[in-house]
Amino acid sequence: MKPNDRPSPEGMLADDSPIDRIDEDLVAYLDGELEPEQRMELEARLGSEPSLRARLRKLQAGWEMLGQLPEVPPNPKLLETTIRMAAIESTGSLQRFEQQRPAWWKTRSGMVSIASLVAFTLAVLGAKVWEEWRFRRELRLLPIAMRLDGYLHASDLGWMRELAKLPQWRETTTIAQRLGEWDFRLPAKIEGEPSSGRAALLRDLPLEDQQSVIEAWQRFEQLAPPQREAVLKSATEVASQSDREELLSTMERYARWRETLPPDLRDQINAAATPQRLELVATALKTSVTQWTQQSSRLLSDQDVETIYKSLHQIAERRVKTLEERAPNVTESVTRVFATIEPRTEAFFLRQLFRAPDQNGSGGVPRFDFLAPALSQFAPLLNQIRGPLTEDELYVIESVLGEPVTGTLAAVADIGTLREDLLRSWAEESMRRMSWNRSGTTLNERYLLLDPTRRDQLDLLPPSEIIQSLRAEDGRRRSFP
Amino acid sequence: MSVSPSTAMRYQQSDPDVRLMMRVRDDDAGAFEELVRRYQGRLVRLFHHIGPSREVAEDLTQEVFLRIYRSRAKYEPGAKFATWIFTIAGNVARNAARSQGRRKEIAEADTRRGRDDSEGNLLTKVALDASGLMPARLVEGEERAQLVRQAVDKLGERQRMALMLSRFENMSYVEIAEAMDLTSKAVKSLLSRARVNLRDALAEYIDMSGAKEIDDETE
Repeated sequence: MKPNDRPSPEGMLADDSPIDRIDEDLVAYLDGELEPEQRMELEARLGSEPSLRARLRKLQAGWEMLGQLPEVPPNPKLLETTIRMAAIESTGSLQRFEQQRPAWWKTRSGMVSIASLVAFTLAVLGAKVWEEWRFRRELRLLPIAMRLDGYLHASDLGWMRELAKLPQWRETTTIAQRLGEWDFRLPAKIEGEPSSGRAALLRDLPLEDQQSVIEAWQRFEQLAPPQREAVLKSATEVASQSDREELLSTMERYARWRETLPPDLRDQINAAATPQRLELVATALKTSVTQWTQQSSRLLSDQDVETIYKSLHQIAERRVKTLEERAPNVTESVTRVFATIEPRTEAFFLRQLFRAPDQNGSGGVPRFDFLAPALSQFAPLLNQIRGPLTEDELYVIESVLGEPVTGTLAAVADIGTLREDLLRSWAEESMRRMSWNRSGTTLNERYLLLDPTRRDQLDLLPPSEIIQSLRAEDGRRRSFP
Repeated sequence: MSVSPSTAMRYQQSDPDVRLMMRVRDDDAGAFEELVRRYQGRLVRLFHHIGPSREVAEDLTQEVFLRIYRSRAKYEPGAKFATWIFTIAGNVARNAARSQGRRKEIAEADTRRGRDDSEGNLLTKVALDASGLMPARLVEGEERAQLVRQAVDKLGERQRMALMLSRFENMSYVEIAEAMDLTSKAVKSLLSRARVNLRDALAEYIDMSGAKEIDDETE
């Protein structure tokens, strides 16, 4: 999809228009997507700048107005017609229809003269030969198309060899692989198959892989002729090197990684001499690892998110209990506050509690009262138990997680503090996701998200009781454990 | 991209809809019906909000399900099911918008929708806009929905899609990035532009409803 599929109306920002950085941060803040340090800085500013708070509220107000868009229940017949159409395909009725065509075609073909039939056949044969030749050529060049970015953006072989020696590069590529960020098996699979077998290989590929191959080929075909020549020349040069395999591996990884960098950093790296270039790359690699750590939260299922959130509640409860000696009844008071506050505020409280102490000196003031004035009386006390998750607390979280994500943790256990970073990032993600899940769903959405068996049970109730039950479902999830 | 067995297993274990799709792969018609039941409302809503009309939204929803059904034998879980189906939905929407027939349909539907808005309302709005009276009164109900819809329609195709996935599917930037084949950073920028555009397009109505509160805050 191109950035500008249609011209933007006057005054509207197109996909590539410059945008005020502060608006970008405010939106990410509202979406719970700001990195912890940036969030702390922004909250400090929000606390002291009324105009910034006003700007934030306007952005939020526009977002909330989307709730005015009408509900669009599907046509009751949609399900039935969809199933019927699928059934027609499944029973092969369409294919049978196709098979019936030759009989119908024969009656018409009698009207076609033999001469025109011969001319037609020759034309078809000619076209077939041409098609066949073109198809074979495409199959032959396909491995190059699959590694197009490498040949386009990482063709400086000397630089690739220098990069491969960089320890940070080797560690980062290992991390990317173990976190599942990079997967280069498809190009290798296609290259590993001789041209003659590639057609069969393509037919057997899963749909998503077929799509990737088609897109790669289309990109290759759309190159301007000089660019395509340069790519083919680079491919020939790489193929003649003794360390060809390692070069190709570095090239495609570097090209993929390079795509994730901001354009100005890419330019800086390109323009720098090798020593400075290596320094720039080493710094940027650290940032990438941080980003991947955060992105690894996509591995979390809804169940993982709920489990982590519940653990965080228990950890928070334990921390609050340590205040009992200094302030009797504090646990009871906090629990009471939690029974009444909005779910989003509850998640906000947890985020504040597990936040690292401010480094910039502006955040000595706890922000427990930011969205929940009811908590302000406890702020000085709560500030005493505020701090990032400890190693023991992280272990509590890890111990309740299921196999798929613990497998990822085990895979990175030998890489620095990556395990701890992942767990902290997942804790953050669970607070973020839970705040949205809890506040963003309508009754209808909650109904649709229910387990089918539970939905069947609800269907048997009178409408008023269904609504009551759905509200209770939400309320039950909101109570402080 | 290729999906490793461990990734496939991970999604199969954690996502009930992936398990349903695995049953569809094994030609379980009941599982397909359940998937249609679960996702038809969400897809119709998405297509309706990013596209021209409800009728088109339902056609495109069917196209998504038929694509899934046709390709069921090759299905391998490589993402959350919701992310996968919304990726397909994005492709279907894009293809539809590209085709000549669809462009014609959009034009017709836009004309229809213009009529549906009722001439009376539009004329009233034009008159009020011209007289500068509009901001002086609160817009409500259907009229407000219509204004929001017009604001959303002004957004670019990708901004609309990202906005709807974020607002109505509660997808994170990472999930939207996966569904739209973008980086998280690109999604962040895309959504910022969408939200700023929305704020600006609806500025006078936001000011109306929130001016007092904001003024109090800034004083």
